[in-house]
Amino acid sequence: MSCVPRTEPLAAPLAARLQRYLVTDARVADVDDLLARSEAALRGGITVVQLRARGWDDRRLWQAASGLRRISERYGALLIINDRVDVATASDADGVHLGVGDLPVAVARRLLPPGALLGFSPETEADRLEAEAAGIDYLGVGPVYGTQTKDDAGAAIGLHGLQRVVAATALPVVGIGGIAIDTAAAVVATGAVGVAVVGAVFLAADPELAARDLRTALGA
Amino acid sequence: MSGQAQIPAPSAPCVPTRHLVGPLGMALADYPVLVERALASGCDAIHLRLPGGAGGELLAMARQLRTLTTAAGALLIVNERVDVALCAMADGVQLGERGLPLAAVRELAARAGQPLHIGCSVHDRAGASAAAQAGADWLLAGHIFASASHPGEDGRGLPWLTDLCRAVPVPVIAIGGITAERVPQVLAAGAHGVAFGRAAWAVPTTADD
Repeated sequence: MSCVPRTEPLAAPLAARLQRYLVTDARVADVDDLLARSEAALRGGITVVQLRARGWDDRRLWQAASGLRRISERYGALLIINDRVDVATASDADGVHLGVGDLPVAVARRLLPPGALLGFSPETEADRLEAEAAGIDYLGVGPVYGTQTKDDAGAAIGLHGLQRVVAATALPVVGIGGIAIDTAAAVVATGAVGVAVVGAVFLAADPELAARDLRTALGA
Repeated sequence: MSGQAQIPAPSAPCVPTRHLVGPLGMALADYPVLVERALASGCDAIHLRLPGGAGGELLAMARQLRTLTTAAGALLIVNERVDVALCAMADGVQLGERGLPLAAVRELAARAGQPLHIGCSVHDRAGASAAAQAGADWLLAGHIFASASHPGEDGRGLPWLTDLCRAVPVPVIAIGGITAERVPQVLAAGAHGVAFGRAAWAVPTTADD
């Protein structure tokens, strides 16, 4: 609460920072490969990275989180950790993304430092309302299309399903699930603030180019 | 304290000596029954170890075990998940060799204002020395004897345990194929305590080991 004028520009509002949302995947060679793909995507204009690497041991997760913290800071991007509040706090990430079955939102909120971002992926409207009441900052909603990168994702909800959630909530919504470069604009046209991409960018042959194409597709 | 013969203090009075590690090989929902049995027969530390378990189910189970262990005056130790340990008001965490770095865990506990005992699992001298140097409160070392959790593998044996206990200044808890009959020889090798799995209570397998 100091009155010293800030010299750096104020951070963009959350909705803008969630526009091009990269989610990592465990199907890469190692931590270095994960970091290299993420950095390439950040060079291409990704605005937020979520570390998700199901099945990795904690040491690798920690190494990846610490590396991503350094890299994402350099690009002014947010770093979100999937599921693990301890890894997020230990790596000074900007927040955590939780799903149904993970630690309850209220519990995670108590454990996180003040100001940390909490994202949530609801499976039902009841999940969403409960999480919103417990205090989340944004929603991940999907799968918009069929997905190959998350085997426990439910049936696709389509653009209409996404639009219904966007209309029902006051929170920023990021669409996820099978979103490709050429479908990203349609996803954002529903009123979602951003698109989360795994296969289309993180696992792309050239993640930097894919991220640039995504940026262009969204007119940003 | 007056007029009595001076009894040497145990080397690590706070470190429990009878650990139960589970549910390993049982359904998670069946674990509290085994925990109650173990507490009744003198276990003073209960570990919750469920690799890959979802945060929600781990926290629910940890809270259930917290009630049981508090009533029995035993410690509750959560494997790897520091967030679950802190939320469930557990007494400590057990870190694998590929777990979060011990210093990071201490920092997390300090930030949360909740002291946590930290045990490290080790499988060789180098790992034991590293964990001791990093400040582990105890080492879980094994496996000492052949056990169902490591089918087809010989145990590392008692001479290995003796060497390890001599090499590190931290209490060593022996794990792997430990039964009530084997406890005296394990303690004679220099171990501070022992860790049991469900087999010590002859609990049949109800899930994949």
